[in-house]
Amino acid sequence: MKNPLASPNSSAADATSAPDSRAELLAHLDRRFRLPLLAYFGRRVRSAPEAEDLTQDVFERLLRSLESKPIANPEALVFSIAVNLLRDRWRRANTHGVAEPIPAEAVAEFVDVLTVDLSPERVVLGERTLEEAFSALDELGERTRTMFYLYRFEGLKIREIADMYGISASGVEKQLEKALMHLTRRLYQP
Amino acid sequence: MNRIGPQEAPAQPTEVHLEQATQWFLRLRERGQVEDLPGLQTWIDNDPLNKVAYQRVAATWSALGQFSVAPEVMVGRRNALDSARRAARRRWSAQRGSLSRYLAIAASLVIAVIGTLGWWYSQRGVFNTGVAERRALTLEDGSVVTLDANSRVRVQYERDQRLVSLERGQARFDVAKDPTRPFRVSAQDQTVVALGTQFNVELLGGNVLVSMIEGRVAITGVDSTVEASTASITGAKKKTPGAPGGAAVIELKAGEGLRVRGDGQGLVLPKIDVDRATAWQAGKMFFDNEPLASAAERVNRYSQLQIVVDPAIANVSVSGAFNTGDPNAFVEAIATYFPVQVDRTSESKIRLTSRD
Repeated sequence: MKNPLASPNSSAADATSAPDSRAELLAHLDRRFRLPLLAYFGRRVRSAPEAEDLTQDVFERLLRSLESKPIANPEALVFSIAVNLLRDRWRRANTHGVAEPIPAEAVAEFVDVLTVDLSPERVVLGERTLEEAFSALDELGERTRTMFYLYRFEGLKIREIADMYGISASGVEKQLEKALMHLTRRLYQP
Repeated sequence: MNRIGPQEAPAQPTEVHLEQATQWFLRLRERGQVEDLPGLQTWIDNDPLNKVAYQRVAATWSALGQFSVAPEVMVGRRNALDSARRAARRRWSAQRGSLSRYLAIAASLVIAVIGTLGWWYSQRGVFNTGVAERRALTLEDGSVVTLDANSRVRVQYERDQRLVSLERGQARFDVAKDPTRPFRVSAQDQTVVALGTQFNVELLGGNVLVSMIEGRVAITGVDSTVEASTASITGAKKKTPGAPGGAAVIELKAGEGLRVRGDGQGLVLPKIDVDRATAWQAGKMFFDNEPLASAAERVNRYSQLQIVVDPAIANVSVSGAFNTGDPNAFVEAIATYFPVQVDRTSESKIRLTSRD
């Protein structure tokens, strides 16, 4: 399936240039994001009708935005409208109106919705547990393993680890990537 | 996803899928923004295996989290902190302030985790057996602890781990498998972590004896430097991830045993007689070149009549098979083969002293 919005900037400009393509864009976004949005709201509100209302709100706001001006990245707009809707709703519910939901958390929830499958049979780790995990960790080089331990178990940030070792953050990220990829490969090898 | 036939194995993510998935995972975790989501969605739409790969990376990440306080991990964490401290010291010798902040945070996490292990000790859940009494406890997860005579365990089940402390005597553990909740037995300062298995733990004369019946366990808290110089280590795999000199994690397989002295020095026994180690359950005791003092300690578990061994003959080696609950037969056998004086003047004690 080829994604019609592979290049969002140009297609968005086309989409907002005429009412027809605008409706087409909206239909496309609806097809693509309605289910993730329902799932997203479904996790954060109490009832299914409430999740449906919020999802409907997202598309109404999206339509208004598309009518008023050209949108550079309509897909990102879908997500930020959803996060903002939830934030507003939460702010209203909170009588003090002080605290804000943590955006990183809201993003993480969306990532879950987009990546989690309802049929997890190919994800289950099965019998491969502690022993496998740790023999896999032992196969890494000492520096890679150390960085991974600091990141995974001590909760240090990439930047903090980079400072300790005097290397760039992207250098640390490469090591962590190597470690996590190796562990995943080992835990899922047939 | 349309597959050619139902028999066909589902396609597996390739290295490229996994690499991209790992990059996405780390990027979103470290600095995820709403702006990243459309890209993620596009990437997922491009290839069904992208999503499978991402799920695997995420599942691996969270599976590791379940083991963050497992002994192997605690050793690895300590080594990682040591090694990071060395790296940072080389680099930051002029700027101590910012370095020690990270390390202080990290070290306090380790201490907090170790601290919680001590906390449960004060809780309820104590089970005792009296002299000559045996008792089997079925715990809430289906694990069975069989307590030998004159023994005591303390059971503390928590959401993420199952802790049992052997405080006196001997017990056999038949552990129900639950990878998300490690089963730990601690005796003195040693911790045995079981991965769904059967083993026997005995406290005897300040030693801890672990006998593996089935499966595997990992044991921590044993002094690795002494341990490494011991010839019989070859029979078992010793794991010390990271820098040398840290505390060892010893892994035992079925048929292997470990004897740890009160000072933390350990000796791996590559081949033990499992039937003998668990014979107490059938009312039998076997001694194979065992010091008289510890043999008497075992015999005493099953009898009101207590054998007291004079220190001068405590290390005499005894061998033989006995029924539990018959201290007189034991004493007679000892007196037959060794120059031992038997003093029965007390009602509750039999004193064994040197005849020389």
